[in-house]
Amino acid sequence: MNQTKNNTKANHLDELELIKGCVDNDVQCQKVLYEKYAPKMMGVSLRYCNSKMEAEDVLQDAFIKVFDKIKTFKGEGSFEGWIRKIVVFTALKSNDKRVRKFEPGSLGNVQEQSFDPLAISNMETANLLSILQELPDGYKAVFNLYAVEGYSHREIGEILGISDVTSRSQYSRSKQHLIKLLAKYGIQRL
Amino acid sequence: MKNDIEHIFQEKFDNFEAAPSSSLFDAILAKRAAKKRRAAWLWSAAAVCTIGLGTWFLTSNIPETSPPVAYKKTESPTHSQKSEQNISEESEILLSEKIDPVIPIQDTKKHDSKINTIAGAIQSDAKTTIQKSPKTTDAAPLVRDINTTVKKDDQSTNIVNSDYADLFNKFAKEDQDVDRSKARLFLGDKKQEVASDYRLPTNKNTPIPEPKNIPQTEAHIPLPNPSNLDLSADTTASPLPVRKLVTLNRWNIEATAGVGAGKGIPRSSDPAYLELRSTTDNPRLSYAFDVRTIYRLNPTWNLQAGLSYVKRNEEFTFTSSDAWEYTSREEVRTRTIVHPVLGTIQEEYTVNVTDSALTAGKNLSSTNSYTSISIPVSVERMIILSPKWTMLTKGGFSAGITSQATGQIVVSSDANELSPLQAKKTGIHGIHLGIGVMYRASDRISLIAYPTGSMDLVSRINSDAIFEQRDMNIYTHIGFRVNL
Repeated sequence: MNQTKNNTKANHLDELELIKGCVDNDVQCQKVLYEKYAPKMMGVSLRYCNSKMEAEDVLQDAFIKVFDKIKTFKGEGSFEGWIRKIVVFTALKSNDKRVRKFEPGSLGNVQEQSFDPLAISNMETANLLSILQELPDGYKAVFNLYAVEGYSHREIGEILGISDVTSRSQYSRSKQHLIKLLAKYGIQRL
Repeated sequence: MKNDIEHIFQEKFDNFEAAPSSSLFDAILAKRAAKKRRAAWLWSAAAVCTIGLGTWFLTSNIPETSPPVAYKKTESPTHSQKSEQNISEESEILLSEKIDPVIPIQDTKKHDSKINTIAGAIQSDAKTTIQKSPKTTDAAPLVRDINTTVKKDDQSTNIVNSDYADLFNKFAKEDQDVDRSKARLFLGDKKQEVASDYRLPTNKNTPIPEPKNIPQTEAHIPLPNPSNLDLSADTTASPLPVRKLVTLNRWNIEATAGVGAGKGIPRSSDPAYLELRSTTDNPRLSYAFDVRTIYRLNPTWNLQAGLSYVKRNEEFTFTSSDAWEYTSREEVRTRTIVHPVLGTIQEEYTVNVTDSALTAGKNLSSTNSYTSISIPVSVERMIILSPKWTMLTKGGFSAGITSQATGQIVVSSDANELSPLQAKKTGIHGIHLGIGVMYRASDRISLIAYPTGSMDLVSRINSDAIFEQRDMNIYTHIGFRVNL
């Protein structure tokens, strides 16, 4: 009964109070915070990982970091952005070895291929995620960071320890690879 | 068109949500709790070890009543200058400063003080080995009297002089060569030695002796027969060296500066990166400065704490490999279709073209430095080699305050250029171990040379980097230690 009452109370807390509660190690506040952001962060994690289990491991490590480091959040920028950054960096670190192996790959077969934007837009996000997860890890990282997260190539270079030129070329290759995968599933420009 | 795919994916995934397993939050709490328990256990173990070691140091070999002392040799007046008053004054000094643990003896009559003083003068001079001892028939009762007198004076102090008595009995009965340096006086529990050159108190009923023909050399002097000593005799010419005690403070301050070199030990899940780093780091001359407060637990063990500044320099050299650079662009092309009805049709279409360019490898280098400020806490063991020279060994833990890394470095095995290294961290803890020598320049000031090695326990690189790096340094510290 008491727990339900506490939950209800915590649900009504605004974000600042929630953060303060987490700083004080209040489990109820931590739970509310987790329930608020976990689904969205799971979506982020899934994009960088190859399976749901892997994504959950990343999410678990990321939330442990969030709760451990929450007192360092200075309120600069959005709190969601801060958590998202932790999730992305945790995912990259967990996939460290694989992410860093950038295979040169051949571009010959995909240069002429294009795609139908409408067909992709009509796709279920879950299906699109499956296709994205099929990308090699290095490509997946660069593609996610640039196309979805919106980092610049210079920033990606700093994050992954590569030059911005390498990031640019990796992105170009990853995009071609993705188009090739889309073509495999029948999404192709007529 | 080029940006379509970015827009589509951004739109699709911007608000994409997926439900994690329901038990994940419980797993997070459990893992955090386990992490905290592990940290608490480690801290508890460290605290128990520290308290245990501290207790052991304090109980194993510590004088209970007096602080550590050092002997200072001074010239005493000649026997002719020693009036009874002088003798009495000196007795006070000797009894209060040097023979502090045998306070009951101080309570005996002034007559005893005179005896002690004179005997002390004799034996201070004859401080080392006695090769040939004189025959005396009074020796056995004398020893009995020592014990009896002491017990009478103060039962509670319970001074037992059995070692000395046994030795003296042997000396008296067998008239054999006796090494007096082996005779020592202990307190009741035999753990605390009163003084290494403590003088045998004579029986108060024995006539007060006066040494004659005291040799000037300190070694191999036979103990004079007390029956031959005459206090009234004039012994004008022989100045008697008296050892005066200088009480040293338990607190010392040490300041040292060191030069040396160090190396960063990288850790990464990528073996190729570790192989690359093994060729890139070149140690350069580095510096360390230490200021420490030292508390002397007992004559052999010290506790130290202070402030340490270390600047490790290295030359980072790297040869990048040849690299292909790819740039994408869109190109409009025209194709011709020959239609049986419509005839020839020109159609334009767009293709993505990737241009490639080869960039030759370059030799890159950077002078990097890793600076840190920490609080070292050490336990030090002193092994006295001679009155002037002491060997020192120390080991301890350094609690990091702040650390900064500046320069450029390669951050992955496939990187083709240097990336900025601007890591600033707190809590770079480490361990250190040193072995050195100390030369006592004076009673208060000692010079020290102390080669010391240290190693980090945590990474100096910020946690968002994909590799870790811990420093290992060796510095030869030169400096001085002042007894306060």
